Amino acid sequence: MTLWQAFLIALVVALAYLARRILGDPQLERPIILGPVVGLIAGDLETGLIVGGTLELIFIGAATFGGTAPPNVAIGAAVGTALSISAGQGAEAALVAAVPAAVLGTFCELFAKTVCSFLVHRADAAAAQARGRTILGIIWIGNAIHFLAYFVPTFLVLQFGANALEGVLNALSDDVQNALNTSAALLPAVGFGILLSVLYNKALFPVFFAGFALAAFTDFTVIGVAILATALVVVILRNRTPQAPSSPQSSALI
Amino acid sequence: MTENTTATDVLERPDEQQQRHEIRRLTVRGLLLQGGFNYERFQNLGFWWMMRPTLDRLYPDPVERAAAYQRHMVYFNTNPWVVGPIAGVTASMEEQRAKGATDLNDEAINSVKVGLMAPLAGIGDSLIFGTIRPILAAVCAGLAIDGNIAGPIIFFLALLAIQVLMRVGGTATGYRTGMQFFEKLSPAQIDQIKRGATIVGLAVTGALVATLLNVTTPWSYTSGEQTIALQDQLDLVLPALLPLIATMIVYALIRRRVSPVWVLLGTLVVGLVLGYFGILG
Repeated sequence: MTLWQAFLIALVVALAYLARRILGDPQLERPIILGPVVGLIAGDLETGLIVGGTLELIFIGAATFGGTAPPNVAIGAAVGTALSISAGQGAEAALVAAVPAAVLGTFCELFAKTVCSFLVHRADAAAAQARGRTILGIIWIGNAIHFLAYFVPTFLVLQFGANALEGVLNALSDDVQNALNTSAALLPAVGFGILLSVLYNKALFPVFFAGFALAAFTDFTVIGVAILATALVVVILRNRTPQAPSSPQSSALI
Repeated sequence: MTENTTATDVLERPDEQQQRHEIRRLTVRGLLLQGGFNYERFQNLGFWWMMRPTLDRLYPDPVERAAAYQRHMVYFNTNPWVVGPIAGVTASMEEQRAKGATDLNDEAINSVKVGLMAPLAGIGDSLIFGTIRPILAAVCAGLAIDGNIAGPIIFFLALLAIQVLMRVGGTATGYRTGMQFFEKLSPAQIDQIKRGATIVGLAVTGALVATLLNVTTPWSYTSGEQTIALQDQLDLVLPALLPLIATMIVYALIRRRVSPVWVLLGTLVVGLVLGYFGILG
């Protein structure tokens, strides 16, 4: 990993995150996108694609809901991809770097959002005097903090973590490699668990088991289940007379 | 009082071309919603950023402009893809207010914003993050793992297309219906859409657990002369039982408010330990 590669990868990660802030959240920081881009920079597109796809499945349910702090998939994916390529290892090795990096990366976003809280009061003062330019400047300071909170840690880990990780990976025995494969297989359960808690609805929860049973006992794919469920939902909604409009507050609870 | 009534009577909406211009501007500026995101008031700075040209146009007077700026400095948080209707409705209310609709005070405008942001966030989160993105991710990650560059490209383009449709349609609908938005899309209907998205999301999550989670056990035991693999026995009862159990454990932990970050680390460690001792494989 050269200095320039580390710099470019950190830049890509921070820009992908900045896109979530000021370019409408186009999901550029997902592992499936960052993996191949980082792979291209690190000189191995193929491995980047595979690692990106593998990490995407692991983090499939991780997202920011209502201001919670999920594992930082962007930093995790970039660090995992870059370091596994520079160590000449595959997707399982990427996990060794990706999961701790994603966990530590959580604090990057927390840090940026907390620091920006102090800016809000300055914006209040500027708003009271209708100084739009000042508020805009404050927002850009906030955006810069968000950008740096991703750029700096990513760059440092890539620059100084590569050798350490290579040492760890070379010291691993076959038993540990097998254990890593098991971990890789088990980790997507985290994403699915998060997904379930987001979709939580007591009355509708049995549908989860219906979807599970359909895919477990038959050859139905995920898309097959999605089409079937969508068709049923459309039929149910069309055949139901809409209830009398209730207050917005009551609907927000469901 | 009479003055106010006359003012309300002569309210005119901008002509069609101005309306289209305003809708386009709000649609594009909706992308800025999460700028300056902070833990004190979440998307409040971004919301102001999005609304700024509209507010500047409507309130040339510094005192009124300051009041408008402060009105939108309050807490705001929704799913960024569904901000369109809220931006449209808010802009339309601000237009009415600027033309003298004095009943549209700060509280009235804010309560409409708040009344829209929570249900729409519910739709956005369950529809996008709970249903559409996981389906796309599952399919496209499969392609990527096979080394096919189409995986990430399809993922990106499909999400982009959906986002653009939601933003363009949402902003226009919100702006043109204004405060009548709730008549066009009642809270009961919003709730139904969210329930629909949740049903599809739950079914898909079930299918993902059954197909993408390859947790098996290499354990076997001897019964008489035969060696019986435990996994074969499990498959006879319920295929993908172990993936289901693993998911339910994670789910139970997260429902008990254990941080997802700890759950992730814990799962990594548990996977390493169980794999090392050959309990799972």
